[in-house]
Amino acid sequence: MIKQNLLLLLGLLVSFNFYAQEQPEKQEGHTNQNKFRQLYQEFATPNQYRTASGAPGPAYYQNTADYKMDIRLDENTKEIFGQETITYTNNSPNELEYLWVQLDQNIRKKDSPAKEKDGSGFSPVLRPGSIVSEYMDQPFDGGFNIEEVSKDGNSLSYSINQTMMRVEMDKNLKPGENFTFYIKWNYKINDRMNGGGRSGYENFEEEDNALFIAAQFFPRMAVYNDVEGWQNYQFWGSGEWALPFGDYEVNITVPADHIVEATGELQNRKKVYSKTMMQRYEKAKNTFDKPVLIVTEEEAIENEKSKTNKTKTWSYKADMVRDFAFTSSRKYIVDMMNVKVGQKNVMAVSVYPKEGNPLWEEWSTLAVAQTLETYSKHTFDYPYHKAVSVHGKGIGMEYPMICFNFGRPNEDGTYSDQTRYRMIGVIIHEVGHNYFPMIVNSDERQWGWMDEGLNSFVQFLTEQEMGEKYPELLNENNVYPSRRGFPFRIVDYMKGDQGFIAPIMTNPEQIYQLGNNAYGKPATALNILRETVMGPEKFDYAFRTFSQRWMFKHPTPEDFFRSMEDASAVDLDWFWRGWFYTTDYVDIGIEDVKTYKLTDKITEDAKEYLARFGITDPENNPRLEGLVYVVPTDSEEAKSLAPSEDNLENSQNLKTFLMDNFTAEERNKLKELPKYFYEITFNKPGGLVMPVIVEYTYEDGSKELKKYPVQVWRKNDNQISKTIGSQKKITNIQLDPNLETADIDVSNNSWPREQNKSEFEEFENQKN
Amino acid sequence: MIKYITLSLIVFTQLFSSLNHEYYVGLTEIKFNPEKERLEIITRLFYDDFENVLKARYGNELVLKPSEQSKNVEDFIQMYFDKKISITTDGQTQKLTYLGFKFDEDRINIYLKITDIQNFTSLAIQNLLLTDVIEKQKNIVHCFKLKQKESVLLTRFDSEALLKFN
Repeated sequence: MIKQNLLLLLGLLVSFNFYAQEQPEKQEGHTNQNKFRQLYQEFATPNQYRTASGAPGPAYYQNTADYKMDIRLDENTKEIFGQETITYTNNSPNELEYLWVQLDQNIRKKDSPAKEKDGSGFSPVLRPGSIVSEYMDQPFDGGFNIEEVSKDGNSLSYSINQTMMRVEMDKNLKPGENFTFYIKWNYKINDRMNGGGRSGYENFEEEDNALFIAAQFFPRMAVYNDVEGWQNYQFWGSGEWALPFGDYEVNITVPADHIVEATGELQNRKKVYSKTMMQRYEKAKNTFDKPVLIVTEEEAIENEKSKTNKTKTWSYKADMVRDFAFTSSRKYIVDMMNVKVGQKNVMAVSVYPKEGNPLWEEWSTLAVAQTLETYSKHTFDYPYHKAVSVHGKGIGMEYPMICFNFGRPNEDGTYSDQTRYRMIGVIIHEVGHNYFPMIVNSDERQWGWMDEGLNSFVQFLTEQEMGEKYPELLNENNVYPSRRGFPFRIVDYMKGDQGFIAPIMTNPEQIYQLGNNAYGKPATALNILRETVMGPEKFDYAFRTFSQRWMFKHPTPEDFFRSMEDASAVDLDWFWRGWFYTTDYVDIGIEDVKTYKLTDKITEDAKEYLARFGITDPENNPRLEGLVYVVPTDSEEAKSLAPSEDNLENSQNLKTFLMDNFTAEERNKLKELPKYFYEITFNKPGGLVMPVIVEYTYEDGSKELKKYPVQVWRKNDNQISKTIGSQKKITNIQLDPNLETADIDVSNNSWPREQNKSEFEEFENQKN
Repeated sequence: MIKYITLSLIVFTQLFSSLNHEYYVGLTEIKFNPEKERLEIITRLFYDDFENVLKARYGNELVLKPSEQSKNVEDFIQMYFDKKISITTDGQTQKLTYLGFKFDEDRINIYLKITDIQNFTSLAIQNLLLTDVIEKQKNIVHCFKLKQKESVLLTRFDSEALLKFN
């Protein structure tokens, strides 16, 4: 009998929310807006090329582009002259009517539309220099000068649309066939210290020398694939590259006293290295603990003074790379150290002028080595034979096996901790780009975050490991002070003006604050996913699965999202939707905390509640006999209805139930009846759903951390309540105590509320 | 407003332009506290940049690091802020009271207040912090009055803004 009554009550409770609201007679319907709804509408439909599991499908294909190039650098006129033979192989099931070739240097043409892509306005105060450069200087006339496009000596017709060149073939390129053609070109190298850019030269006037960084320096094949057809979205400056894999053979002719580093394996080292350099190189091959200098600073300074008319040709060969870059100067110092990665050795190389020292000789190669170790652990063993970090003031830019990184000490050689942190950070980041997007070859032109975000995330893990390995790096910090990755660091961005925030899933050309959007937020989201949502073990397995599935292939965002779920069995539609498809932010708060006591006597609230179900005379309703009621502890009612501190004393009904339904032995096995009953209401002013992480502090000082799964929000997106029974009084409740969710407003995160002081007041109190 | 939108667009694209650039940004948060009738100001700067600027102005021997600070460094910070930040509310020039500083990882937070503010509908700010040495320095200003928030981005050549409040 009693049991039935309880069941009835249980039924009432479940339907309570439904009946409690007053409903207008007719309401509008709506579509599914639930935060947990499936991502079917946003995602591309799985197919034979890309499967629903996130792995490449049975019909997956990718085309390849192999290059044979001869390049000459003229350091006096600051020009590059090149000729290349491209073999393009069509592995797609489709016939291709034409080929698209990317001419990225054309963004520097005098009349390039990219120069006018942003609006401009007058500031009330102007620098004379900017008036001259903006309105009076002759504009730099860069861009490719295409001299010839031909096949077997017969010219091919072509047509250039800004940064894209369509090349006509004599006949359609059938599936499985390849097409070999020749391009001859030259271009003026830009002064990248004047007008910026990912490549160019830095001049040292007083010594008549320059550091050359050559990238995007040759006409490169566009990608043709199952998602974009030809990816010929113009290069406007923000969205980077989409490039097919291929094998490269490149001969680079430079002044004979220059030192060159480039993508690929050096084929004629004995010819271009001196005897001493060769000996030191052999030593570096067997050195795993510290860098070996191949060219010393003294030798580089000596070399700076020479100036030869002779040239030398450096020959490189690279297999399965998506691009090629090189650097050349007579100012370079070189050091190398071997690093064990899996079963093989990888040479970590640094190239820098004396201006980079002493910072570069101390830390560059060690940062390269750390990157190879940590990234390989989280993805796959680094497949190339070397990784080179080149000193490039003011930029961080990545290419296969080689990258260009900022971090220059003051002129007197001193440098701040921050210069060192930023320099190590950028080296890890750019070397890390070997994994994303050089090997896991996403389409950067379409999605900046896919390489920048994934890479910034693993960069964070690497920096933290580097801090553990080299405590001398930390100084006053407990951990490496990564700029991106810690949840609290993204709060300022996520709570910022919505007019200047775009969802992560936006093309780089339309993004505001690219650094926060494509680097910081996805890196932080993945860090939160790993630490707070999935747990490192499940996350790491899935992240490795994605990396290995798409190693040397072209993944899309869906391939990543699907793989992470597929390999972990963690449903993440809500996470991708919230963090990647919206600009919502996390803000969860404690709205209310109520305490209750038990009683057998019916309360006013209970009467009102039962009346809604037509029970008007509950005291005399036999069906309600034996029920237990809750009464707010601090209410007037509680004094008469529940006078004792002991809940069991207040409720004979509960006592009777225990005696009638359990044996003495069973009763002994039960947990003790809680002394305190709490109902805690959490609200959610922020749009993102997240697990609710709560720390309860009890009167004896003990703490308990509870994590309610994110699913608590699936039926009410605004507020949820949780009941707790405990033997000890709760004195404090703290939401997200370790700041792991990037909650943008923590002033509503604690109870009792008064204890919360603003940062300003806290500082003021400390001072006094 | 349109001018500021354009400006920040240019600034942000140039700032990051998809490379991993070195960048120089300071953040100043001004919060109106109606109960205490005052403006509470926190300025966050990279401490190494700030130290370099103070060195350039007040002498190379000056030190401002979490581990060590020159004895009279607070006098210099105060002098510097008096010169580089000025705030008027409803046309009235206000006096900044310097409270102190605190290190926060790679940043230094400087705490200031303006007392005796019952209400205001406009706030003009000039912020030239660090621009005397770092030409590329951008200073973001967030100003909060109850639920309203106004933000601007200031530079050496565009260092002043007028914010309107309800």
